[in-house]
Amino acid sequence: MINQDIESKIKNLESEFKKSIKTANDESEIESIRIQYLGRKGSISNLFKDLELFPLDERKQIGKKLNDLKSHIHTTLSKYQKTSQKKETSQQYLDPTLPGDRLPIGRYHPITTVLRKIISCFKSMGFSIAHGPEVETEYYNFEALNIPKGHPARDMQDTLFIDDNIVLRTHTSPVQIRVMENQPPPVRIIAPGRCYRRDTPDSTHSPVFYQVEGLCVDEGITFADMKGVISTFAKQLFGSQMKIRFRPSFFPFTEPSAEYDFTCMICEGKGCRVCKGTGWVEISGAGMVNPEVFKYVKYGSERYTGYAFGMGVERLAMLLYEVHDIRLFYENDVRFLNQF
Amino acid sequence: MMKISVNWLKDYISFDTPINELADRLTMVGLEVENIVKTKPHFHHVVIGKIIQINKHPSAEKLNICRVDVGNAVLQIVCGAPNVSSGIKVPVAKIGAILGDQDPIEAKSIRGIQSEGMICSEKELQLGDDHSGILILNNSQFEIGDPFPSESGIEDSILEINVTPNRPDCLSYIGIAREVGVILGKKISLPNVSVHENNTLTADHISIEIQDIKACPRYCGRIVNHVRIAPSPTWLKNRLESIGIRSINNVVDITNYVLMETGHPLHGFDYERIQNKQIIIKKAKRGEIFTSLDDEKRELDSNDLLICDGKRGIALAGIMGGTNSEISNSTKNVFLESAYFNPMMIRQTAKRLGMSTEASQRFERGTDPNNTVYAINRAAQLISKIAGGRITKGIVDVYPKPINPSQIKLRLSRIPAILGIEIPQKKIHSILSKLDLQLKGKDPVQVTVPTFRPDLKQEIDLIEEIIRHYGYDKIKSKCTSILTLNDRQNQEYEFTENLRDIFVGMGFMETINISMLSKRQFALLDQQFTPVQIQNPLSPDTIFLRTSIIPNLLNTIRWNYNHSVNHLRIFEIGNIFSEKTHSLPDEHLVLSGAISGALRSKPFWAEKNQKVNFHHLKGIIENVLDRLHIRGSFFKHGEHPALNPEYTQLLYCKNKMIGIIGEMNHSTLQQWDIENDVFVFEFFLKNILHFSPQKTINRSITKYPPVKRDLAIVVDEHISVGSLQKLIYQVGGKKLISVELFDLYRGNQIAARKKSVAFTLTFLSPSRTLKEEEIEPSIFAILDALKKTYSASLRS
Ligand SMILES: [Zn+2]
Repeated sequence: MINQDIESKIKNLESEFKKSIKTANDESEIESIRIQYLGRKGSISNLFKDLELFPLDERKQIGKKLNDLKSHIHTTLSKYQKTSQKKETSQQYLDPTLPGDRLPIGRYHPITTVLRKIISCFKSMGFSIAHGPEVETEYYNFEALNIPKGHPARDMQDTLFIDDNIVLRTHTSPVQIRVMENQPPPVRIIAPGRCYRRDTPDSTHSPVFYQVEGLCVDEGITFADMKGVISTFAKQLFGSQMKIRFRPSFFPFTEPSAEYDFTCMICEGKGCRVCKGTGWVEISGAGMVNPEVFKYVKYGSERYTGYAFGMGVERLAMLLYEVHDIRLFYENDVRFLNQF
Repeated sequence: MMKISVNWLKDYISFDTPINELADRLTMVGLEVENIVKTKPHFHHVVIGKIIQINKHPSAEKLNICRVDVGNAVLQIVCGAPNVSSGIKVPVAKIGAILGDQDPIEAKSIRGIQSEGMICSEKELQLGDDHSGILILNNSQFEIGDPFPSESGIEDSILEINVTPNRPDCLSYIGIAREVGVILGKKISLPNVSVHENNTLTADHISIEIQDIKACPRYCGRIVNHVRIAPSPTWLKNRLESIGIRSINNVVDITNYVLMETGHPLHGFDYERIQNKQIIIKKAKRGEIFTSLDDEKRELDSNDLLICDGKRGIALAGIMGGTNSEISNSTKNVFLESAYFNPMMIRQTAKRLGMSTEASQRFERGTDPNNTVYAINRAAQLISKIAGGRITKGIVDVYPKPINPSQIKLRLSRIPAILGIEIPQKKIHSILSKLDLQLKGKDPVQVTVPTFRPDLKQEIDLIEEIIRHYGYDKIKSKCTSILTLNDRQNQEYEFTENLRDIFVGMGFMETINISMLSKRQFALLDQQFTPVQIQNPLSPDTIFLRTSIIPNLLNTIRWNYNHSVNHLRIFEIGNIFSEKTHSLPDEHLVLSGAISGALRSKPFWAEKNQKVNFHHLKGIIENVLDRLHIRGSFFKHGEHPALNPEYTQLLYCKNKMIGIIGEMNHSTLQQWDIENDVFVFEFFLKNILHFSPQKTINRSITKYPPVKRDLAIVVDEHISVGSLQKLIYQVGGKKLISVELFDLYRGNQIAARKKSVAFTLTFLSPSRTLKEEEIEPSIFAILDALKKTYSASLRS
């Protein structure tokens, strides 16, 4: 009987507490509730005193319940105390319009961003990445690409020399040769990297620039496949409205050779100053691998055909971001880089 | 770049296609029209001027002295017209202008006053009969200095065509006309060449000997006597000038005209100045000096081909004539040369001497050896017509081993195999034959290639010719789903990109720099590598390939500080280079970075904006190592010429150095004009990759709680925290899993030259809950070791 009596007292106390805490308005009221329940002469202490009357095993059982209630009241009170404190401080101090803590922001160089776009596009079409040295032999940079010594085509690229036989690569095309020397067809690679030319810097020339070269060799590869791959690339990079145009050109390592153009993204093909009114912007060169090149790497040109294409990363970045001076990419002005 | 005057082009092919359309179609067959310049006819040297001042002539009442602004100068002109007045715009004939049949305007003194031109009347400009006064230009659209438009003559368009180096034939009007003929489906008409010779035998008056047949497979010579050297007629002058060639005199102009027309360079010598009436084509003597037409003394090499007379060199073969045999106003008899030189030979000499002439550009790409006669006769015909000469009988033609047109077999099946489309056989035949190729047989087709197309050597070249004119746009894009090949391991690429992500994530701005250094920059920074030197750098600033990216980063820092940026966290991933004997240089992919200035990009109101220090950088690097799961790495004190010796730390893993971090020393920063502290690092990517595990494997996380104990000890100032930490790890037992510094104190609570170092030690067992008492032996061992090794005492 007494047992049940004390248990119901505990329950009542709990519900009483819940009611009173909800109506507490400020810290002083919370404090008085605390004294009422947890104080030395408070309700909980009184109940503990009653406990002494019970036998040991019951005392344990009821004691635990009392302790639970005590800690429940305790944590609830401290929670309410905190919120009430906050209420008070916010009325005086908190100003959410104060600026946040700005740690430095990192950014990718626009060339990296464009390179990554290019690479992921070609990777999705089954191309792998190949690398070669930036300092190349004259053999890989010119000769094996069907540009023999004394060929006027060597003048198409102004070259920086280390010595008579070693040059700074003027394109990433030598990677083609290195890859083909090391593996039989099929080959499907892209070679991104830095290239060098002895060009006086101006708004469209930089002595250092990035190029991505692509190569695909297999049985039955035709010009039509090349057009397919490059037009897919154009659409992925610039959007599905993008059209491509191929027109004849000359590169010693491809035959037939082409320059390929994209629809001018400024005027969408209508003709403007950027595209000199043609509606097209020149991107880079491409073509079917010249059988002469296959001779150098000992591929049978009757059985295998292939295509190669190049692209200037800065050129694409300039078109994508409307940058009008290539030198900005190499100046590393934080105010420029912060835009990307 | 070939400039084509459309009016001139119409001499060889008639068409009325709009110019823009023609230009587009030329572009689409590989003759890229880069620019179209519309030209209006105008008087030569007659410009719009403005009278800015008038003074009376001191000794002639009717004359005025006018000061006339002609744009680039103010001229003093004496004028007798009654209607001069200040502020009016007038046509001004400058010195050299030719009006009608009169002599060119010269500077002259008119009654003691210098006059530098003439202000023109309507009649003087042949615009009308009014000679009562000067023509006053009321129309405001006339700009001072602009050429004065002429009513006579017709408008023209100049096409600026970018001719690829494989097409020497298109560096001529006839070559371009041939392409236009294929495009428009029309026949071209070549000028009819007929030469009226007299009875004097050319061979009696000149002997020609080729000593090097390889260098000069063919040499033709002709003599035209009794020419009258004079300025060219207007039509000839206009044609040459419309494409940017300066008119010199009638004979020289004719050789240039024929060069442009046929693509075959010719040279005219003053016959009287040819010693012994002998022409010998031979290699120059090493060191021989030759004065070319541009008055430059050229030192020759034994590989240079020289046209000599009986005594000396008179022309640098295929490149430029000499002053000693040049055609002058007193020349009576002209010797004409029309030769074929080996392209490689001409190119080599032109390149070595840094010369590039209209002639050399064509010879080095390959002219037509079988066109020399046509070209020389065309020139002789024009000379006798324009300069009145008499042509002697016959050409002296030395051509010991005639070069024949080549034969190529074309298998029709190869066309779709390369292009991916079928082209009707009729179309193939019509394109090739319009290009003047001769076809025989059905399949394979036997194709005879004329010698003006040295670029056509193989079957594939013919396929290109076909598709070039059939149209690249007729090939349909093929978008077959591409088989994915076995992807090669792009491990290094993935790793590099991952690192890039990590650094950008940590607030670093990526930079990309020109990978070259100046001598001075190299000397300031590096001693580790022998630099790779560029033989022909654009400037001394870019003579070495970089041996470190740090100088580039310092340039970037300086640039940005100069543009009022106050905090920098930058990095770059790229190659550095070091010389290696007997092989290509070593290329190492490195990641370098620098931090400098404020810690935050924007000030934070709740905290004072701190400047970065060495330990910020060290923390960044430690975080990176953590992200990459590199275990067992440690810093070791190092040395570097550009780094502050106190803060130069080499990062090692096992016994391999993987990078360096440090503070730039102030003397180096001074050289770069940087005032703020700069902290830098450089890592070798291959080495990091080597120690970064490929695979991470999940290990179950222990469910037992760790036991923590704080330990504050007092040691001598010079003892490094790192060594204390190292010792604690060594003696702390297996259960000690971390030793973290949480406080460092120096001050009056402890003795002088001592510091208090406080660590939190964490102990953990994977298999059970540790009791406080269990770690006591470890704590004792640690304190004991610290006391013995570093005389450390427990801080009370
Ligand atoms: Zn446009």
